Amino acid sequence: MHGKEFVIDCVRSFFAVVTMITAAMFILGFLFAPEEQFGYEVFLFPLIYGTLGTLPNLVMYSKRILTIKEVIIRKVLQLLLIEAMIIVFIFGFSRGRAQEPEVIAGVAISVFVIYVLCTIIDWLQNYFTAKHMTEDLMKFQESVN
Amino acid sequence: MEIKLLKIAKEQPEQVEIRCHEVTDEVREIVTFIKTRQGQLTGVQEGKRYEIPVPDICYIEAVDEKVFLYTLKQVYETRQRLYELEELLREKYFLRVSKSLLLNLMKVQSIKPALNGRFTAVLKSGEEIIISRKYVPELKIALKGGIF
Repeated sequence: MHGKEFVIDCVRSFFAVVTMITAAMFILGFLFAPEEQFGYEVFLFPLIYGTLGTLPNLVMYSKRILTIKEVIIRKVLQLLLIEAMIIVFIFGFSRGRAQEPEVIAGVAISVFVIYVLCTIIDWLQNYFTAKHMTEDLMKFQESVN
Repeated sequence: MEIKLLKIAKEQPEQVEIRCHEVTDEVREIVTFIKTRQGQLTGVQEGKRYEIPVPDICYIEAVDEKVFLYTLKQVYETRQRLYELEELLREKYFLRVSKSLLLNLMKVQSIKPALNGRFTAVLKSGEEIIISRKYVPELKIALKGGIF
């Protein structure tokens, strides 16, 4: 993977993650603290979490083509890093209800769900691209024959 | 090297003759070019030389400074460099799909997504070839008939 491709990947990943995090914040807040009130600073959190969630993308960087096994191992490592970074960032400096295990578990599960959803969305995009390319391939082969 | 062109009668068979002091890489390159134009490549397998029809080649791969031609059942080594073959075989529907691989698009059955934004070309033989993301835009153009 070239540096340019990697940066484009990171930017795409960042915006997808920010969208998912905004949705997750709404769902988690609604479940665990529906009465909570926030200021404008809350708009910054999806961006901060998005950055934290995108940084471990560095694990996926490689100049050579990775095997499927290597990709899977790196993806697991990436997920673990994202979980660790987000949990430390959110709960490392907070006290009170936020420290309760069910809240931490809720965030950890949300991070996992977001990660899986981003992977599925990415795969679906590629699935449709591959489908179109196969259709073009058939037409191309027919035109040559 | 002096070049002579001799026009002959239609009854006589056409031929190319190279007279050289030594069979150098340059000479081999000329021979490969002529063979490719005729739809053949020379491959070596267990010390024996074979003439392989280009349409029979599924893909060509460079591995550790060596270049191999893969047909449905056989693998041959060739002395040509990958970039030279890329140029020579462009009009035979071969396209680079990764840093080390040229794929014969006529041997591909389908394309499917792989992990990490890459794609896999499934050959008619069932073999799978990874398509690097860098080469996907060019492949898309080629499949729409924009290159060949």
